[in-house]
Amino acid sequence: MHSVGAPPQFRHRVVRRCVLVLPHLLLAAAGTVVLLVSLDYGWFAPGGRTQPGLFPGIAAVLLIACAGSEAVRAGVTRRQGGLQAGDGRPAEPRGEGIQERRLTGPGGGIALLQTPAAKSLAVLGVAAVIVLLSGVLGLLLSIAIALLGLLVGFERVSLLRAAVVTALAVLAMWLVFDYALNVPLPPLQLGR
Amino acid sequence: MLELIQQGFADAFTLTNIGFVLLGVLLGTVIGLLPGLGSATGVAILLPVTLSQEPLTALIMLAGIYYGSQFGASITAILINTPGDAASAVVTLDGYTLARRGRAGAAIGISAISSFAAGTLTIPLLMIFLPFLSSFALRFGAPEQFALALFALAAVAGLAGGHPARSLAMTALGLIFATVGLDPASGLQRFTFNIADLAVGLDLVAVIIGLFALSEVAAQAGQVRAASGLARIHGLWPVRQDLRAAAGPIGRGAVLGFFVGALPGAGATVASFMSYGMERRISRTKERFGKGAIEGIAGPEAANNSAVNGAFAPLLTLGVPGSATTAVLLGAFLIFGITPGPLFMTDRPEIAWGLIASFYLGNIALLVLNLPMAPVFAQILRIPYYYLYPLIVAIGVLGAYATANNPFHMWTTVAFGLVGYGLLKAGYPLMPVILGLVLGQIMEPALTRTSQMSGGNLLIFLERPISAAFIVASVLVLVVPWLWGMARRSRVATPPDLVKTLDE
Repeated sequence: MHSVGAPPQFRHRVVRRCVLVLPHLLLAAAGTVVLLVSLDYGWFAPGGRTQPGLFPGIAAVLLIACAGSEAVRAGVTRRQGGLQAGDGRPAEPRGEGIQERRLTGPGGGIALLQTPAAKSLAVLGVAAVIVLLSGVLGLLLSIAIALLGLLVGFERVSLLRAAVVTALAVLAMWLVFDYALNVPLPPLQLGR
Repeated sequence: MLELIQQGFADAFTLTNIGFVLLGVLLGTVIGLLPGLGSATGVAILLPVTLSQEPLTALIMLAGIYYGSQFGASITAILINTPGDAASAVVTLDGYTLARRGRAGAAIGISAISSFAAGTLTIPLLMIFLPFLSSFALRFGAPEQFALALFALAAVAGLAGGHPARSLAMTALGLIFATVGLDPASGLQRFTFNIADLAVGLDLVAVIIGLFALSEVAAQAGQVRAASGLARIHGLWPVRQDLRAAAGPIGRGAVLGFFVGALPGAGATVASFMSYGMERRISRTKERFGKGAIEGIAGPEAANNSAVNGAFAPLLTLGVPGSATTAVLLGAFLIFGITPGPLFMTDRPEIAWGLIASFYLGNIALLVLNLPMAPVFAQILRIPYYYLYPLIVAIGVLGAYATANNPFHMWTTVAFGLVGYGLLKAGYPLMPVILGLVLGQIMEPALTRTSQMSGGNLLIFLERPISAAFIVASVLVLVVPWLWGMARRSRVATPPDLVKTLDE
């Protein structure tokens, strides 16, 4: 509708506004799902006593109202979205004496991975890979592979240096968790 | 009671406990140094390390981690102008300015001395306060418990700053997460998606590691700064003039911090900012603030540390955590089979008084261990972040597994890491999610019991004076800051700078 034949600047603004509104709408949608499920559990019994759906239902209504109001705010106001001052995060430093670090490690790195979002998602992906592999390779070996992969593949640290860091880190984890705390870490299953 | 206190000191001051509190302070300082990873993350990540200990030893170590991480965050704030957590953000204003003038040592020294003095001065306050609060809490029934938890949640949204609607949304999300698993009254499985591991609910430690550690590391991995301009540290002992200037702010900050810290939702961040604003307002030389005023470090640091003591009051006597860190500590108490609440001081006096006595140990450790080692800690800030974050990810996942030796908890951590990262990017605060999760587990059974005792009449909340007072306070704490903000916005035409905001 608006976007057909609209100038690129306007289209860009609409897309940007949609991106700002989307997280709030997703939260409101999640709240709606919880609300519907809670109605299925029931809110009140005939005598007026509470049922299992009441508590999650009230929380869902609160979530829908608050996330909905934020979606409206993000949709109609100019200065919106993203992280703002006072959101409970430490203030950003003001620069002097601090140098922006390269996004990648010593060797440069793959261009795509230089975007902060890709790097962040890669970190979460690596955590998932550790968990996935731990059932087969054991937890410590999975951690070793993940550490080595992150340092060499993403951060372009030299293989030798990455191997030394990984070996020391895994040794420390084994000493603390397996040797000192007797935590039964998932063992290597391959070939058993 | 004196006998119990004496016994507490005897239990706490054993060689083993002294060793573990020193270790806790040391590890906590290292975690606190890393920007973004606050005390809640520190306690959560290191919780598995304490599991093989006796409950008192473990709790003493966790308290040491709590103290240490607060101090570590201040070192980072002073040396590289990047606060380790929100509570130390205000210290950057004067601490970093002093560091740039070549007085980083004095700034760190004042920070440590203020923390030590305030922490030590307010422990007796805590000792006096706890028995009174416990005996008051004995009058609490289910409606009062529910109303108190409601007040705590409202206070988080109303007092924590930022966007109240976003805080409330996150509180609601936490409350929804609290309902995952078996319904306490009917035994019905809710939101478990036929996953057997979810029947017992979400594991608090795994959720916290995911929300705070994993998401924060993911958010920072792409945009981390290295401390190439790290200030050099000379002479950690401040001159006499500094100590004289710091004495007043330490006293005022200690008292203010203790009472603000005891308020659910307010915590160390609000305490340190309030203390800075107060010191600036009463100073005859306001213009020095933001340019390296010793008072601007001493007051907030004293408030920050005494707020930690204050936060233990509602946790130990009411079983209600007021901050994310005390929520993790509540989780730790429960793991060790200890339930904080009105009967805690009488049922488990050895734990209660031993823990309080250990706070002295923690404070002494801060001064005698951390202050001389500050230059060594500062070197950690020189390690490139690309070596540190993979280690934090690995330790986080391993820690999530080790709390209950359950692989499912690792998935919980990864899932909440993703959720937390998305919420951070959208500008939502994460602390209310944790408080909602913890307090929801108190509120829902209380609501069910209230409904049973009143035959379904929910007006009972307004018929009982204590619960009615908490309900009214909950409404006020939400509405008053909102009205105040509206009034201020109508008065102030241009956005004030940070120092002016602190004044208000």
